Amino acid sequence: MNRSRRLSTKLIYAFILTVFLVWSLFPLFWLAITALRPNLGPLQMGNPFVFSPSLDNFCSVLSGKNLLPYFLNSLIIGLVATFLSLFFGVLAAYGLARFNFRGRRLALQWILSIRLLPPIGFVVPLFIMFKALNMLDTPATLIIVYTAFLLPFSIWMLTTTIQEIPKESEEAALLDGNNHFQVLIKIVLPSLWPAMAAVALLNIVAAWNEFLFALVFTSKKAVTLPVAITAFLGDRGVYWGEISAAALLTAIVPVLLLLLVHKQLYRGFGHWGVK
Amino acid sequence: MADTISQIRAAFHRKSYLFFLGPSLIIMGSLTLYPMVYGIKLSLTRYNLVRPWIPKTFVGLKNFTDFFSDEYLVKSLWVTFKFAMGTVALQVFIGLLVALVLHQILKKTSLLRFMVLLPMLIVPVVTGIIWRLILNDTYGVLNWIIQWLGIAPQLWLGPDLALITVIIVETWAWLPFSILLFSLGLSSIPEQYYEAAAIDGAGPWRTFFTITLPNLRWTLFIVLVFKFSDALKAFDTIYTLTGGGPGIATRALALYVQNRGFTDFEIGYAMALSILVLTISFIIIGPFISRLDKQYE
Repeated sequence: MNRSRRLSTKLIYAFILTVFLVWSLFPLFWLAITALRPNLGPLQMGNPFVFSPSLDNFCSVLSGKNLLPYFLNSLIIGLVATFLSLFFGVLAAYGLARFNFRGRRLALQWILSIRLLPPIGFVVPLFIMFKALNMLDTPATLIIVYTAFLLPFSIWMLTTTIQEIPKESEEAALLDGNNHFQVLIKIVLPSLWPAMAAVALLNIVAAWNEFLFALVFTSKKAVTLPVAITAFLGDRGVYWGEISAAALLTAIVPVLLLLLVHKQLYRGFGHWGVK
Repeated sequence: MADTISQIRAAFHRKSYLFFLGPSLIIMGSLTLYPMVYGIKLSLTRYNLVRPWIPKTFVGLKNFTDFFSDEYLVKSLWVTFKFAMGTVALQVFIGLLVALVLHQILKKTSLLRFMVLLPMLIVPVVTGIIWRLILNDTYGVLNWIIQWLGIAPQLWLGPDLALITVIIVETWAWLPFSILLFSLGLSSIPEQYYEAAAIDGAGPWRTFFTITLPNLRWTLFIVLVFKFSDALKAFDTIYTLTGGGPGIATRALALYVQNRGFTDFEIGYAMALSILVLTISFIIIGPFISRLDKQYE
């Protein structure tokens, strides 16, 4: 009795998990299928699963100037903003984790709220500001904006990590006449690398995926991949093969990066999620 | 000895925290606080960027009183509300269910868990594109499948179904997030609680309602705060999936602000709307912020 009941629970679990996996993975599978289908025109009916795969779509989006400039924009903006947010984030996290000062709580609350408030609330005044500074459509603008909006997550994650490190050895080092900066470099940083690597990857993915700021603040020169793909959608409404190939190439970068840290992901997202 | 200890204490209390914290505060401040102050000023003006011959004029609170006669705003608040309720309901119930199943059968960091997370790692714009491919009424695979099953094809992105479709697509993308939070919550419940319940002879349902659910209160609270505030952020996927349409059937608040600001270039009014969105968001995240940071005091 007990055994058959256990078996049926297991079957129910397996069923739920299978349904969920199909639901999660089928759309991604379908994107790949569409990208691999040779361009016979979109309106072809018949069984959509039967075709002979080809890489034509990938060749056509990768050749010429189709995607490359946007890819470079996304890459450079993502890397620089990630570096800056990590650099300033480590400093701020050390300050918040190791000093007790008036306004610390307010600073933490403010940092949290920047992370949670909707970016759309800041887009209009930032647009007018950058317009007045003649900085619209430059990579620098997106780098600055991304740095500012990635900082809260970096600071929060790194602050909690530093707080988990015992501070006895830091106190000893201070006693030996090191200043705080030296303590940070010599003692805190070596045990902070894993957390920094995880935060860096999450940040670069967030910058890579970002759409709203990029859509509003760029028009030609500084356009990033997500914006470029949506423009593709308007221009070439029917070339689904090429659009899918471009979308697949854009989406695969974050997935591969995060696969590297998937063991830390649960912890990382757990604190807030990456959105 | 007591002296040296107080010296250390003093070192940790000195003003040098400003050196560490200063640069970040300046960067974040100049891109959030300064624009807000400037934005409040903008919200009191009539300022249209495409009609530069009309000077920027001070109109007082007119942009805010205009809210009450703005049908499109009401519609978009309503869309946002339905979107929030739909995504919250689906993601809490299904998320908890899947997390419970995963908790029973999977190791903490298996690759399968990563695959479960996949949808939320996809660029949101690409999520929109994928589902447009699948849902297209004439050559989308979903209509092909249901026709094969003998069901009439549907206009998934038509006026009747578009909002429901958008809610389901958003759930596809972000269900992993609530699964992940629930998984973490579940793994933090001590095993002894369950052992004690088993000794007391509690069945699975009673165990769930007396042990699992009460211990997930904090997780549930976080999920709710995130999901409700995400409804105010919803932009990327809707933009690529429906563009807010058909008509304005799926134009959630963020899209409405973007439309007024960067299609109509009504900067003053768009700024007043931004302040409205931020205020609603503050009301949602306020209780969360005042509780969460206590954990890190």
